[in-house]
Amino acid sequence: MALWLAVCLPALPLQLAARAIRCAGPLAITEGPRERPLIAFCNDPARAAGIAPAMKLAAAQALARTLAVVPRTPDHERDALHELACWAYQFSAQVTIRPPTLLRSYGGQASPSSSGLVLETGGSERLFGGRSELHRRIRRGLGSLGYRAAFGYAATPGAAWLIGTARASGLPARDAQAGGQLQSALAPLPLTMLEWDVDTTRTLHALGLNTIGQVLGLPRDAFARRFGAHRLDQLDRALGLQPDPQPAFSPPARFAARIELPADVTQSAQLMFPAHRLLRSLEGFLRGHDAGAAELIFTAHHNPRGVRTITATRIALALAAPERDAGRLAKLLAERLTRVSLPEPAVELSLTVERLAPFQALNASLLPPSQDSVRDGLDWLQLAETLHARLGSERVFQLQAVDDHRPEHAIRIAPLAAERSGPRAPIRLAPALQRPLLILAAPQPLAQQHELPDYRGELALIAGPERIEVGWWDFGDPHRPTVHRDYFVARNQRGQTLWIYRELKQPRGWFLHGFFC
Amino acid sequence: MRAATHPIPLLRAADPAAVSGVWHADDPALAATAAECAPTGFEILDAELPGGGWPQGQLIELLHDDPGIGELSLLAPALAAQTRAGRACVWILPCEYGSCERGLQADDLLQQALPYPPALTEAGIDPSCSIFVRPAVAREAWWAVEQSLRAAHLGALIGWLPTSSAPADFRALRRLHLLAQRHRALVFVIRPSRCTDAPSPAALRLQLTCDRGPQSQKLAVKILKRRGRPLIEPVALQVHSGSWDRNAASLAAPTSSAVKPWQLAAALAGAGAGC
Repeated sequence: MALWLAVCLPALPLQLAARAIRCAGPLAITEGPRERPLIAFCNDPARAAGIAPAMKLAAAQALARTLAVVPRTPDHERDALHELACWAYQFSAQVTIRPPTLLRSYGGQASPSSSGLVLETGGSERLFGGRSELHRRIRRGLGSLGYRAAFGYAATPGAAWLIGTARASGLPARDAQAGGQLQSALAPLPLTMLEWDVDTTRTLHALGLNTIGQVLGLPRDAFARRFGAHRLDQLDRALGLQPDPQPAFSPPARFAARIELPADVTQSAQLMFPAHRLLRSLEGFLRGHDAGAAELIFTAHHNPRGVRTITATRIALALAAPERDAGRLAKLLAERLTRVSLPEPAVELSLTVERLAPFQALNASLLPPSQDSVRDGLDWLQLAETLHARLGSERVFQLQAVDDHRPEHAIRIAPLAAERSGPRAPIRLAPALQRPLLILAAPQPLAQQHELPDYRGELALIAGPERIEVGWWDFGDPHRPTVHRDYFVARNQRGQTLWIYRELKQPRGWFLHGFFC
Repeated sequence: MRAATHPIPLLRAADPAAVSGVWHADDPALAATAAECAPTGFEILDAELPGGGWPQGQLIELLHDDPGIGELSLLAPALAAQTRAGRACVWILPCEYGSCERGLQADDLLQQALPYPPALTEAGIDPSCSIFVRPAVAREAWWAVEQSLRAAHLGALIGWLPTSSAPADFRALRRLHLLAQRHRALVFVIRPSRCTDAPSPAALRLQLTCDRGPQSQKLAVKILKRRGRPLIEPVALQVHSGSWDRNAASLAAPTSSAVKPWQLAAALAGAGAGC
């Protein structure tokens, strides 16, 4: 049976402004003409100071000196709803966005002006272990994203939305999970929930009709003639008497989300809190796609200073294996942020993931991790990524053997890879060859005394020579020159065993190439 | 003074069974109860180490000045066993810029030295199981060691640690020692031998020098600190290929008819230049 969940976000602009900070002082969202802005929303500290919606900004600022003011930007609200829909896609295949209503009536009775989502949860509740478990997950997830929402359940999307918005504006309402309960659940709700235009609502109020139930009691054809058949259709759809197809939301293939920072952020570590919100959102998005992200790009936008715009700070987080767990990503980001310094205070943080990668979940152990547990891959990757996030790929690497006779080309510095290069057979040396455990990236010229090399004392040659004279096929490549060398194992008075060679070409110098540690 | 030293020989003379409740400091088996141990691969050394091998989950300090005396070959059998078991190794290589104050030529060279995968494979150490870290400065090296020790499943860690003042080093090492005790990894730290006299929290401290005998060269492992009674005599180990030592001996012997190596080299070089 279809069951619809309405997620209503009351005062969305206020929530958007406040979700990037932990605890806010008085905060207000303004709307209206630029020269005479009016308060549209204000939070509890502001209300305690005496500020109310529809107040002039100048008056509000006189009441609360520390009032933070953010002008309303409908685009941001739409983006936020879109992002939230992407997140909610992990719970339901049918998600519909209810966009913010911008036409608000001032002065008179404030319309609810809620925006939010409607999801079909009846089909997926078994997957998540029952209706209450799914509800708990959604509620907790919204909390971690920094949203406060009112929920409504009903057998039709229209009724669910009416119940949700009624709850968002503080009215008591009953869920109508079965079709038969719809009529009784909707009847006591006030007419203002229907968001009809002000004139209609006023006329109906003047007729003494205040609730949906009273309107439903009127003769249908007379009501349709006077107020329009489409109003009855709306009620019929909510009551399940007519089909109510919902526009299907299809999530995009890339993730982009942003979060406004109400106070200027000067320290990169302060970005962690808003970034965590973004990562939670990303996790939901990736779960919806059953994918992981291998490269995350955070961008800290700076306030344009005068006419000069400042280049945004780009913080890339590259991972060895696709990941979607917000907790693990946050740990890596915390390490990465220690390498970042903000040239200017940041006013907005955005996160984009261009490419999604197939994700393979790592199984967690049923038993508590014992000392012998073979959770090797997980820990190894976590460690590698932590080191890599802070030190960078030129400082954290793996070494691979390459099949080349030139000793300096038989080694390759490789970036950390998700899977160990397992199936490849190891390149084995011929048994007679001796190679040092430590090699110098660039051979060091040695001092000579009477044709004899010298390294912290006279060197005695104890093995060799081994002639290596190869590489003519790379002729002309300055990075891979041909070598003509005789290698020896040498030892000095201090007991150091070295790998040295003598150039066969003039001036036939001696070089140190490795240590037999 | 004399009276105070008397009871010890008395106890030692007594039958161990008669004083079973008394802990004998010179009993290696008793001293080893604190930690599990991994065999070193050298029987002579195993016999001298409490518990018969490298203690797991303890800091092991190797002090030496001369790279190339066989310090990694000493660790190789234990590392090979770890990689065979599928556990990861982390190598914290010497700092790139951090050790200017050391002032030793060898260390400057070590800053650009890399473990050589063909030789690692030959020693049984799978390089694909290893992560290599080349820190830029001392702070990064300590951080990387600490992070590695926080990972739950680490097989072995080899760190060339930077040195500063003795008290600062002690504090940092103490921290690592406590972290190392949380799991069973082998934690080797390599430090210059001038740190010999500095205090250290490591459970096992070894000083590595070279023991040049008449026939062969061995690695002399002097145990500076171990659980149990101290060991005065260093342990001599053959860590390098034995054939080199025969070569060296034959070259050193005056009756040898072998071509002198430099003459050989010159001859070869002449041939090489001619063609």
